[in-house]
Amino acid sequence: MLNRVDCQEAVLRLAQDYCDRHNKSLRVSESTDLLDEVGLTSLDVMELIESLEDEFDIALPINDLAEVRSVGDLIEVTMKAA
Amino acid sequence: MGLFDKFADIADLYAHLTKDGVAPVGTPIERVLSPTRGIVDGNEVILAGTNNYLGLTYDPACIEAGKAALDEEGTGTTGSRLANGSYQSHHALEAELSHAFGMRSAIVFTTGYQANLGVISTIVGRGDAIVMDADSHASIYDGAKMSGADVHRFRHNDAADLGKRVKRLKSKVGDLLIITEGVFSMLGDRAPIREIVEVKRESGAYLMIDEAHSLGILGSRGLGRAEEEGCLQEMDFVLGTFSKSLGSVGGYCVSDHAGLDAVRHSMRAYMFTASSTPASIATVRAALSVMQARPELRTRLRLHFERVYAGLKKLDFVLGPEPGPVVAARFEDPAEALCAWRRLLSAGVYVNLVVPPATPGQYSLLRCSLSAAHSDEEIDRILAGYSRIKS
Ligand SMILES: Cc1ncc(COP(=O)(O)O)c(C=O)c1O
Repeated sequence: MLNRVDCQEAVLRLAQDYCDRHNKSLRVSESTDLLDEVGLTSLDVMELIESLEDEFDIALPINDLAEVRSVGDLIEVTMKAA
Repeated sequence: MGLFDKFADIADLYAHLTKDGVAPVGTPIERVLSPTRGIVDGNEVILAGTNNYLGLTYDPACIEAGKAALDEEGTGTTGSRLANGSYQSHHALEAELSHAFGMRSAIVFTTGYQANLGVISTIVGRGDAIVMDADSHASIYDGAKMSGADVHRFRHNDAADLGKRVKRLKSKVGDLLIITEGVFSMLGDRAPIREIVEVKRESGAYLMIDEAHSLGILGSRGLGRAEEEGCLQEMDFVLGTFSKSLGSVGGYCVSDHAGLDAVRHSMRAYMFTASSTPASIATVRAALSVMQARPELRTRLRLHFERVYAGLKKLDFVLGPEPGPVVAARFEDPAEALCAWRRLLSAGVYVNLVVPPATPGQYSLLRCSLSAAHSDEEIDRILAGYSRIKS
């Protein structure tokens, strides 16, 4: 069973990785907006989701992703699927 | 915010695409002359982006059948299949499809889009899950979204990724529906259907294949990718369209599940729209007979697409992974793709320009679709047109 702390840690880490790889000097927090601030395209979001799915061996339905804007939202949908 | 403000970006994009000449998207075909010739921007061009794979739009038997239906049954049915729109010919076409595929049930729809929308949105629902190829057609996405089922994507043509996702889902959901296309509409590549069948068998999922770009093209009887790979009987649902190889309009779903027939009465995309016109149904029936009687058309199409694929490869275009009825050249920069499209048109060759988000990635495509009706000389000219892009 996935607990919220592990989930939070993983989502923050993966989003931070993305920023670092794209030279964005941004400290990612739960309120960071993935699209506007981090600048993820919908394909990047797909990749991020895939990494999360693999990390926790879960399947996130795309139905829930339409509402994901912030890192916090992503933590919520991940918790729901776990 | 005004109602139309949100379309400003897309309007700008299209205005930009059109500023130096004829529109590359929604290109006006001023006149159609034959399955492979038309007038665009005042000039006669070779049509190589029409999905007219078998070239049957001007087939004499199809035209004659359409004209006879117009004379005998009129211009339209003026009603839904469930009301007054089920003519003897709609039923006859369903029986012919059922017989051709060797499956118990067949349902004919007004378009292929509606076939996907109707079937997918109805046979699964809340508590079920759909796992579909990420590069699936919009009609599959829309049907999936409307179904209320959880929707998951697997990496394009990657059966191992599909297997992984299905395993994660299996214990959690009601019914599981896997969806793929036989030949993909943008790159012309084929689904690894045998490997997908393995996943289906292991998981007890249902499997649906959309053969829009493979009916009449693949398989010894032209039934599509599943037939080509010898696993037609493993398909729970085969969907397709009459709007490409059969040169008409309409869609179908065939299945060996006898239960499919009752689904008719629950599919809104089937119930609340007028049925196909008698002339459409008549041309489809004639085209289906031609498709079955003349396998040489698919042989000819294959020769053409293999030649074009090899020719473009030699010219160093970045292509899809294998030759198919669609041969697409990939461009990272949309402006470069647009420029290439205009050069090709000025060389007398019309293909489709496809820009994101209609393409699977962030790139743009020059999408060429071949036809059995192209002459060898037309194929030479298509290749010569592409070489001008590179020169
Ligand atoms: C894969 C696929 N499925 C379905 C359709 C829809 O077919 P139709 O043109 O009959 O609505 C198309 C055609 O655009 C397609 O490419």
